[in-house]
Amino acid sequence: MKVSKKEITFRREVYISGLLMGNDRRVKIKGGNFMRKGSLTILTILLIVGVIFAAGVNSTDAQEPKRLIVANFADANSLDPQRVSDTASFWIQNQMYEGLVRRTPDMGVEPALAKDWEFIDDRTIEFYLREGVKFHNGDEFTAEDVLFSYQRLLDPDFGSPGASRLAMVDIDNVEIVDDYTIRIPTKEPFAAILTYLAHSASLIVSKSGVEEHGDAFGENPVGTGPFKLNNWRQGDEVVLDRFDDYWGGPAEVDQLIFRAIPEGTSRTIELETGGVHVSRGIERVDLDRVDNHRNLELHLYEALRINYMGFNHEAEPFNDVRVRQAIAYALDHSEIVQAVYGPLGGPATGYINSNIWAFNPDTYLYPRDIDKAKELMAEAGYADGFTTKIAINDDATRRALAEVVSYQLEQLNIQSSIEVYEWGAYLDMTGRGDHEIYMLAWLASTGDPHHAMHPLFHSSNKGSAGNRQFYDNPQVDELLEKGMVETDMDQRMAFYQEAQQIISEDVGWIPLADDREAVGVHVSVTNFVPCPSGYHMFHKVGLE
Amino acid sequence: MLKYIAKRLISMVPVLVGVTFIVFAIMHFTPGDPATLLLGEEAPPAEVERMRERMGLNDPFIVQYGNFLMGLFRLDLGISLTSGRPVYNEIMNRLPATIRLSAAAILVAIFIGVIAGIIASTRQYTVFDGGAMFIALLGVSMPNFWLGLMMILLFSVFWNNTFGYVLFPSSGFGTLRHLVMPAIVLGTAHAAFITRITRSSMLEVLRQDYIRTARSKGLNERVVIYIHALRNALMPVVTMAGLRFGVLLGGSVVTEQIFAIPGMGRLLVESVRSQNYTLVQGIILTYAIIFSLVNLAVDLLYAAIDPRIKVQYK
Repeated sequence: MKVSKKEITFRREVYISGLLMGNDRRVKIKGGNFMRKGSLTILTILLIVGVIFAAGVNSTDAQEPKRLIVANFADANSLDPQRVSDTASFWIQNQMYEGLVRRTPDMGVEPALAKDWEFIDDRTIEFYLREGVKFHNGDEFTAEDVLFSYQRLLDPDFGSPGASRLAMVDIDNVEIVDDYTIRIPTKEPFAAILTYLAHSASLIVSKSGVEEHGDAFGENPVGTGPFKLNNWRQGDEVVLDRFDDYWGGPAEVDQLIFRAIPEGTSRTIELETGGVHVSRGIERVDLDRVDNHRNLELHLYEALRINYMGFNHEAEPFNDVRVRQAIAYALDHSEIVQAVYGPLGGPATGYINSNIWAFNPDTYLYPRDIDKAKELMAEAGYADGFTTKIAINDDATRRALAEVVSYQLEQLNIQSSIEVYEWGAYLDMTGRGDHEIYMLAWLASTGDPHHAMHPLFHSSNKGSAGNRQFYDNPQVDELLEKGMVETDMDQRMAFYQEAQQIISEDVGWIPLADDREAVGVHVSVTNFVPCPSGYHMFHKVGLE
Repeated sequence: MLKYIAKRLISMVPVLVGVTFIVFAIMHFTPGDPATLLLGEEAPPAEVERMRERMGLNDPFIVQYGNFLMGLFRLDLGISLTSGRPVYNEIMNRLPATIRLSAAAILVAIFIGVIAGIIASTRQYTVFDGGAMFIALLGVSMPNFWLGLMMILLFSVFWNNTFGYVLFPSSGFGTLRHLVMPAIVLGTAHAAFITRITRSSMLEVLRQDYIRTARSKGLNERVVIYIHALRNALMPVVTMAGLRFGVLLGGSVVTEQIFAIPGMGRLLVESVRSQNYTLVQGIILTYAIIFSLVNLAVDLLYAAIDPRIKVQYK
């Protein structure tokens, strides 16, 4: 091939710059030009085909370990149960650690690390621990680990966010009888102690593990659960391996992977496309999509949270029970639930979540009745209504809730403005009592009525301790105190139900909706049972 | 040259101190009590007070700021309130993902932007010019989350339904395939800026006398454009790309959220939301350092492109 002088200069320049791509318009060289163009096209095609095939190769080898992949809505903050109090962390930790007792899916309590227990007196409970239980580091589990875990949880210098869960334990007088027997006293008689010990804050950590890793224990967790940590890529995924020496028998799958996928739609898409097998927190817009998918199952279950609208009982005009009652009569609960929650909520009909055993179904006294509401407003001297503020924190659901409620209040000529606060500021403000109407939810994660009612309605908890409506009724105080110490379950139930009745008469606050949560599960997953606490367990869950 | 770099690095210090002061002050005077957030909604007030004392939150503002600065000299940014891990570790855990994503995105942006810019400038006022500018406009106007979701629908959902596997996984991080979609989403948005700047810069250069000289001495057009014109037109492009890279390192929150990428943007949003003030301070400071370094790197690149500037760096 004859090469022109021009072409030589041209090629030299190209060589120097290294910038040239594609063909040249001015110097047309047949052959060479085609070659360049042709090879580029072929290369491109090869690349694309390569990518497609590389991706298409299915890796369902028989020898391949069984990996169950779960989508969580956030990463764990820490894998140290005494460092955190958020549900994303606790869900993962519950696969790795165990408490003395644990919650069953129907909200009962069953033995875990303790095989049995006995109330010695009304303030002391004696636990008989399971023998031969191994921690992930190979050490044997003994009563020392129990004492160590609770001491660590309650150590003020450690500052655990879960410390309030076991605040009633008289930690200085815990007595280790022998390696497998431990006596745990409470400061006051406390009937609900077992449910508190079943809470994730009370999970047992390995003493030797904590001593070895110190502050880095959160990244080097040592528990007794059916899964142990393999690798944690923070913000991305936690990879757990089956713990073969687990006392309850090895788990069904070889690996359990929790992926942090914050965006709801992304979680659903991963579920649809097989990127994950189980996804928590399916959002309302995606419910039908998951439900109608032939490879997916939708589990809708009742969570333990109740959403409510509160008043500041110490502020005008909400200090008048008639005004509170009028508002209660004016609200249309089914419209609220329909508009804001859809299938992810049920109308709340009481003062605790309806899944808590002491729930009194007959408490709520205010079916929608506008005439009665107007009458009560007139009696209270507000026939022409008033203006007020609805405070909420920055949350889409709560914003929708406030808008619907604000609209419904207009029927009583109550003009309300919605004020949105950042979470920290919101807690501050409602704790100080600078609010009028506010909206919050309460998650009684222990599933016990004491946890569900005492912080919210006992006058000793006014303000930031939980009673943000500054509710004060000595009768209720007394019933809640009795319920705390009574050990007879029927008696306890009676106390709490009566308290709910009184609170309803007083309109302590207005219940709006019980939360439901949706979990999407691929059909290849077997034995998945949702848990109201949200901490679905994977020990017995298999993969086909 | 080294002296110049040293001078620049030293001049970064007051800027960074200023940044820490502003961030610290903002976090300090934001309502909401970190101790309450740390101990949770149900913590008794006495415990909260004890925690405030321990965290030094009851000290005067200036003492707290002083302690923070002293910590900085030891690379101690404090402890993250939500995880109990050192802030320094938290940031170092997330930084690689952000840097990789930003680098991939800026490469996409430069690739698209420079080529489109050259096409537009050499064929000014033709269909190609209009087309390139239209695409640039489209790139910058399409919201990240929308383009991201569309790509996910196409390459993950639709592809999976049609071919039985996923071409690009819709979320996660780690392999090259995970990087493709987020890099394109971020890259196209920033490509628009680079296209525009390349075009206008090229147009200006192409009118210069030396280009006419080059053409009149018979060099072919390709050489004139790629070797004589482009190199001189690159200066503003490099500046723009550098600044865009800086923006990318700090601002890919939405993309990180959609594709579940464990990057700094998500960490910042999460920490602001939970008022994890130590982590917020650490991240902002890191951003400030990165931005300053990127600026320095851009200035040094000038020297590489234009020898005349190199002489001035002493």
